[in-house]
Amino acid sequence: MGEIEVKYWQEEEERMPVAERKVFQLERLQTTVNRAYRKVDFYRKTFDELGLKPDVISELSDISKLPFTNKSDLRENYPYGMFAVPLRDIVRIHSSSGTTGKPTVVGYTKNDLDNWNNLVARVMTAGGVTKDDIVHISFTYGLFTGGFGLHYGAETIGASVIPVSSGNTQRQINIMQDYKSSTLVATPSYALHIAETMENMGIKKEELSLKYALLGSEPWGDKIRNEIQERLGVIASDNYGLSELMGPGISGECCAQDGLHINEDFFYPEIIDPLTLKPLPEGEYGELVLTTLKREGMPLLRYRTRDVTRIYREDCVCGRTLIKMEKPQGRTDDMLIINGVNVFPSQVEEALSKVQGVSPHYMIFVRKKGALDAMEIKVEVTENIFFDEMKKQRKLVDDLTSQFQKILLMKPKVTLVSSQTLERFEGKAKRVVDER
Amino acid sequence: MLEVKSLHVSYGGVQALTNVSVHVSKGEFVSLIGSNGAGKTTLLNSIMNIVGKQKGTAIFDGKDVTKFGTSQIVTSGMALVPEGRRVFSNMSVLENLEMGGFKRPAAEVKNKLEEIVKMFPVLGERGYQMAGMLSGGEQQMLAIGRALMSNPRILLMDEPSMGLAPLVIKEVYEKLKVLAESGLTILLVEQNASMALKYAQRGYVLENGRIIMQGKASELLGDNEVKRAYLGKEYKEKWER
Repeated sequence: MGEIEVKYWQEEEERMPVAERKVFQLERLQTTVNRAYRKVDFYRKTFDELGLKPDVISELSDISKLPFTNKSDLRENYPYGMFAVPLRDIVRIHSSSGTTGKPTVVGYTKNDLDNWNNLVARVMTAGGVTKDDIVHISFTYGLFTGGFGLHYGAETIGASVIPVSSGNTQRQINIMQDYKSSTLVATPSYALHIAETMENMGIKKEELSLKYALLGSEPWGDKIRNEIQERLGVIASDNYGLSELMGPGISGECCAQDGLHINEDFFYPEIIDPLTLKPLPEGEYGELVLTTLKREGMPLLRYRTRDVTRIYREDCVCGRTLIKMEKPQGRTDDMLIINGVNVFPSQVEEALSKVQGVSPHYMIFVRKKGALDAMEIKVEVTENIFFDEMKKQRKLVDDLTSQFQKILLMKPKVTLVSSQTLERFEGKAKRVVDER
Repeated sequence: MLEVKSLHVSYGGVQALTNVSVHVSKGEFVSLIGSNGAGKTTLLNSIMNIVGKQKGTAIFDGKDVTKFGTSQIVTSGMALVPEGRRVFSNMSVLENLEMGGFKRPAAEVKNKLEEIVKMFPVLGERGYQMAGMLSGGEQQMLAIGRALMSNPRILLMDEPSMGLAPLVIKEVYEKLKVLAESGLTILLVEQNASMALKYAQRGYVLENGRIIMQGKASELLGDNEVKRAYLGKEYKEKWER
């Protein structure tokens, strides 16, 4: 008997003609605004202060008239202030770690959980997972949405789920080997760590049964993707989510591995200029802003994700009509504006990854040079090159400069420093010194 | 098939509907629930242009029918079964049915009449009785039959369960189900949320003239908020019990 190939989880929704989906989007947006105004004190106050009526939405484009919601709003309304239903209707609570301030709390009703399961199931199906897969989940379980989100998504599909959680990589590899896990759910860096540990243990990828990897919750590029695909023998797809909005399941890659389809029947996406806060046309880079369209427990209007990307509509080979977003390039919190050009530290990392002979350690300095801004990037080189002849050094500087110029669209000053001379950080690195 | 967008309606200074958008796709059975005075009847009446629209549009089969007169709307393929049946009591059952087809050619009316009598045998049996003599359930069947005489592609139903015994309500809904299965598109408004959602595919909840919830009918039936407000289920916090 041949295998039946399941390509979609909710085909009607995923392949709905765009014009028809827009009808649903408008109705759901109006309903969400009505609910937020009636049921959430925060929104009622904000609307009243602005003199806004909830019936301001006659067309989808009217969404730009609504106020934004920031992470700080969630913190100020800690713990349950953003909920639109009484607590007795909430059946699950997740929360952020709270390392950078008060934690943010999210609540799900029964319908929210059902919808969440189906949205994650869509993303997993797009990534290749079927009911016949054995899904190995090495996301941390607990308050973090990643573990439970992918867990129930996989169960909803009908796959066999192994809730391994994080830690003890050797044991994880043994489990994958013995239980014949066919899908790995992890962060990209942990997937790489698994590959390295396997090498140290002398286990070849052929001894495992892995076919797919669903990776997310941190930024990663094609270089890492190729390495993971090569070393684990998998098709690796990206998926995107945000705890405040639900968790994983907001968007995910399909077989085309070219952009993440946003579940826009549940999350209305916009791109704004993070400085002027004005909406930008489709295709332009800016900050992703999402509005929940069906969430009962905690509707959020125009939530600023701080992730920088672009959204675009194209005919995808997979047949989905859902709008696409690029992998986020970085966070607006980290964005530098140098002579009017937006620069992200992640772009510097990307450029470094393309040049041989440099370590990934760098520092960015921004200073005033007359009226203009000047950018200097200090890069550590691997030892053997630094003590080598001048000509090689000159070539390295030239290579780096041209890479930076290509990716940053500006020409920084590049300085090479010998290895182990730049500051090291425990936890979150601080790689930018702005002296302007 | 029918797309009502951002509709505002007010009567004598009172806002009855605020920014209401609903749509029904071809072959769909959609229910809109809400309590008394929520604006359900106003919605249907304004779609049919029995009451005027202040703002908003109605598109039917790709045609903008926002400003169509009521009879023009009926000719274009919509029919309304009004709240409380409103059969012509002093006319016979058959005459009532003929009234429903008064804009159609005579030959077509005859065929349609036969079709409807076949579907609602009771209307044939009581054909020459005064409509006022029928029971509530029979009158409801007559009202539906009369609406079908104009050969509509979409049927708007206003509160079909009103004043009927539970068993009769079920009978009416079963008839609607048969009609829906034969391809008729239905938009129904009701206070009786459990029946309306049980037979529909999708639903909306109207409160004080605004849509405050929507989704698959099954989703709404299982929702605590809907249960509390419209299904008469008592919910108390644990410490209150």
